[in-house]
Amino acid sequence: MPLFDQSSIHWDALARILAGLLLCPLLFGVINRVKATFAGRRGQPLLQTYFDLARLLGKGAVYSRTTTWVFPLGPLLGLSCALAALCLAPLGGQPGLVAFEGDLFLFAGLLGLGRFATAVAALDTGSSFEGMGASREMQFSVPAELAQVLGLVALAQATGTYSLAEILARLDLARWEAFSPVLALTTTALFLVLLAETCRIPVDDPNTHLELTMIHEVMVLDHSGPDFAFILYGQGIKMWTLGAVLTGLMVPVRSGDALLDAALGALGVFGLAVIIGVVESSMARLRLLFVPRLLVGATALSGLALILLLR
Amino acid sequence: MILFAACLAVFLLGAVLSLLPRSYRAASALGSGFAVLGCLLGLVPVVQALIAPQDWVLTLAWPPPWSMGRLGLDGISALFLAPALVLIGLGAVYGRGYMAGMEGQRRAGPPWFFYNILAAAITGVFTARDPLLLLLCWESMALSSYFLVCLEDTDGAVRRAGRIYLVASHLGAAFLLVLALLPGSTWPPGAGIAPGTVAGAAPAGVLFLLALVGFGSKAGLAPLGVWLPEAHPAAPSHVSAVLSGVMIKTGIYGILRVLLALSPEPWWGWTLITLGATTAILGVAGALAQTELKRLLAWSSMENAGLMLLGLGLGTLGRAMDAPLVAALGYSAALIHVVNHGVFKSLLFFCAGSVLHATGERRMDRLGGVLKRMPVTGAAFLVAALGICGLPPLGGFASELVLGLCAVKSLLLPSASLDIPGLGVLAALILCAGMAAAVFVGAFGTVFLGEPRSGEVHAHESPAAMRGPMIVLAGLGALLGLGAPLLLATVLRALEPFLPGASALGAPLVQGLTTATWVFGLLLAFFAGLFLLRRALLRGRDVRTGPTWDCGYAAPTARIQYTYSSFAQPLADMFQSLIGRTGSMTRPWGLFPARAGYVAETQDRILAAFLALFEFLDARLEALHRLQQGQVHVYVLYIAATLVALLAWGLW
Repeated sequence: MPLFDQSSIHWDALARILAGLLLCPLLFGVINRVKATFAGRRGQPLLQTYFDLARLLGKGAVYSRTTTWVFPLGPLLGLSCALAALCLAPLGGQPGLVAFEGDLFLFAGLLGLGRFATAVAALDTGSSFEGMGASREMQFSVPAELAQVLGLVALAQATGTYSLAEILARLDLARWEAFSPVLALTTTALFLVLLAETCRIPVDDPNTHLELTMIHEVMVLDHSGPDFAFILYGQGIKMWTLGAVLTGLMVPVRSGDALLDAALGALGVFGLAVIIGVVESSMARLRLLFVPRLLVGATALSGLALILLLR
Repeated sequence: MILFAACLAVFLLGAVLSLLPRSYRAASALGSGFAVLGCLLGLVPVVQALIAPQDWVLTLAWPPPWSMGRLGLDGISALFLAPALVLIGLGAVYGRGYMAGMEGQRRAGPPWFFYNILAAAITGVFTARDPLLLLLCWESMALSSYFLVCLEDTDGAVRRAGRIYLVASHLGAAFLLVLALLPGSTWPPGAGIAPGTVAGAAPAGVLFLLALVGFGSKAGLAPLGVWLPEAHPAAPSHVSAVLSGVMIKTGIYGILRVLLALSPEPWWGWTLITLGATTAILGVAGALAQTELKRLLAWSSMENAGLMLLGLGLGTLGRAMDAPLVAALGYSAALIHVVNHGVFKSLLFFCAGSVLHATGERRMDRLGGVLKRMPVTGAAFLVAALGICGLPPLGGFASELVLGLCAVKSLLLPSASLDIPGLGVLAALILCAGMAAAVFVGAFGTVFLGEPRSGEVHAHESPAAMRGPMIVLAGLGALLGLGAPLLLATVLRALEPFLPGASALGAPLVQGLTTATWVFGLLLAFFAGLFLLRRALLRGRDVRTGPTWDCGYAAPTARIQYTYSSFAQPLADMFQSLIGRTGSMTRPWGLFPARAGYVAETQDRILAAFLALFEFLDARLEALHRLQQGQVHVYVLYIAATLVALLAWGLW
């Protein structure tokens, strides 16, 4: 018995999407504050990312002579894809704006399109560093995408439904009791994917200043002004979206009150930001050669979860 | 059906007429004009058959012996024919522009003769309704395409590719010959014979295996598809587009016909899925290791044939295991992918041909920055690349969604028998999608973006005859994305006679795809909004241009850019066990390192294995040369001896 219409538009999701749009830059503030606390520093203001965005949006831009119209396509398409993915993502067991059977493939496809655009824009500069970043990004995305889709399909299998909204709405405490090993494996896998997709330690270090070791950051070296603001904001939206899906799994409280559930979900996303901050403070970046192993490990966890569900 | 007969007649007439004129231009105008006219004539009944499927049959008034000469046009045939005719027609327009520069070097008649024969033969294969006609069309398709592949026969590599293609295609045809000549055989097989028992004398499983090997070799299935990465790049680009976009599908068509006509057993599905997954992963891993653009595209065609086979395999398992939903979705996924891959791969070959035409350079690592000088070609390539990677909002995403959902649904069935195949298909599909994205980001980025890597490349945009088909196909690709629900509904309608209730079973997915289209609209709206916002923000601001920020190094050369080999190397290393070593590295060594380098190059190991096998056979069969004396009286002796032996056997 479906809880929502199988393929439908949920207008009430607009409020949740608006919350995501407004709150996502705060995630970086929370992560930075946690890292600062661990390091014994006071850290930058919580709202620093908002200031950065405002400053970047007010600036002009410098473009490389090598670039073509493909170059601005990266930030534009990257942010559009993140926004469209946000519209699909449920928050706290409440559906996203659009839901249909198999929307988890569209979710992964939108993230893939954004990645494609960013990598192509990086290659457009003709810089060898950015080529390096694009190459690594596309390499790591192969196991990461596999881990993500297999993980989401494992959730579909555990709940017996096919749309993200329906899957996450059904993941309550009873489901966790029944399928705890599977859900724990999937949670781990999806958390690793989140770290890779949002360029966090141990996959990528957002604070590094050595271009040779960067992945995401090095791809966007040549973007400036509003373009870079789009990229930064897109990163925030992506983290919020992936975090919302993951906390839908990690915080299986479904009170039945839509507002309370959504609030809990949003709180969960910030809790996740704290966890990311703790992970970033407590370990170093992996050597680049080990990153694929980590992500293949995540794929193995998702695959194992799925196999455990087969009869 | 009158129009359809006219279409075939126009192709044949065009073939003959293009041989007549002496002038190069007249011959190519006649040849391409008749091909386009034939395609337009043929499209009318095909579209009618797609809208309202009905089994039209065309029988010659004076049928040749062995009940030969029946052509039929049902939904499945129409579904394969529609993209085929569009692509052949556009290929003819493109080919005229592509070959315009060869005036004076060779005659235009023969290529256009074979192109029209190929068009007629492909149309015949998709509509033949008796085994002998099928075989005849199949063989003329193989031969005419062989001559087209070998068009540039002054090049030794092209002749070698053509020879490999000829041998491989006849090995496959041998199996089809058996299939067609089995006593009591019909095409599609087993029609009218009680399903599941025997067709003529042969069990259904044998028919399936014969068809799989025979048709599969044309579809490029591993390990029989070794000819594909050799032959497709060797042909002129409009022919490559038809070979990859259309001719591969004749193999898929044959397998599908056999699967739909017989009642399958589970091991068929297992075989198809294993072969499909192997082909897909080998194909995309092979594409990672290529250095030439057209070769890369040919490997990617292998990958896509594998994906179609995965759909067929799941559909077959669904039928065998009595899971009609999985059957309907699996077959639809394969059919949707046939259409999508046809459009996008032909477009990619058109673009690759356009680059080759303009620069004369096949190797990607020597190109670069082509987009600035060939904007139309570059934009078309980007659209096709997005489509072939299965990314929204283009058509490729629909095939990925249907196949993925089919796999997921087979996991959730009450019976456990479909679990492992479903999981395998899902994993292979996502893996291939991710790797294809890496391949095409690398190819597009290396060829079209950045700075030109070799100074002497003077590219120019292609003539209108080549640009036109590319623009049309790019538009079609975008339409396929937005019209995906319509396409799925059409496919389900065509499958209805074979899988009763398919339309009803697939209706929720059509609804789902419609909703996905909604999200595409949202995506485009976001994009347009952000585009306008960016323009408004930058208006009147200080927007400057400068050198690329290469970590502050302001005097970069084009040589320090990432090449395709360097781009693909990390991922190719991950799959080294599949594709072998991708290159040789000279490391810098010693206190004063002199020379270091990395040369990317791969050997096709399956092809090498086949060649070794043939050499071995050749050596072993030397003894038989003694039978072949070359003297007539010895042969007469053989005949007499055979007669006597038969007589003795008969009188026994």
